[in-house]
Amino acid sequence: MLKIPKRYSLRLSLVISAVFFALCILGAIFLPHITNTLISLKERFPEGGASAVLALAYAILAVAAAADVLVFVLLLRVRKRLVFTDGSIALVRGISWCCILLGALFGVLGYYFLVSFTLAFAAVFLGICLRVVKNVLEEGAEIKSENDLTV
Amino acid sequence: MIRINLDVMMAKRRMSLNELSDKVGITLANLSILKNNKAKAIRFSTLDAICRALDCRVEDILEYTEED
Repeated sequence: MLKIPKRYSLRLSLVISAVFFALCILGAIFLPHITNTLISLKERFPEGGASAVLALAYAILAVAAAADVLVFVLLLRVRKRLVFTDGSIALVRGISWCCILLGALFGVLGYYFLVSFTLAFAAVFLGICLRVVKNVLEEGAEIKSENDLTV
Repeated sequence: MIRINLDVMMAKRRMSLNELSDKVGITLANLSILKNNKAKAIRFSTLDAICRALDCRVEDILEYTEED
């Protein structure tokens, strides 16, 4: 399996996170066009649903961009070796809530596009996984503080 | 809770924090953590070195009180 050295791995994560943010901005520009294309592909679409879908799509994009910003800040903290700290734990908690919120938004979008339920399930599952990671980080921070304060 | 009475013993022996740090072989920062009751644990080796440096017993340094 491909193993990237730790230094480059972190840099790569930062680059991917920045690219994702740029994609979010691009997505925001082309979102009306994308949603119109998706709606036109459907044979029957609820009356007045187009604006609701567009609003949902923008909400999803905004939450995804917010989560990405949190990920970027977390990566910067990892680079500064501030992993097992309250700040990093709060960031992971924030990302986890963003995932769960994304799940809810995708769930609502499922009313118009059935396939969105799959994305909702995936987002909620990711949110739950991140909550477990947050719990592990909290334990790690506790152990680190004990270790740091052992004389 | 367990209280550390290091400052009392240091005053009795008229020993400064720097001097104790040199004798015990731990950093000044760690000794300050211990003196200010911020430490969560203490190694037996550190306790042994402090008792030797201050010529005292463990109970002269550690004290149990019921308050949290």
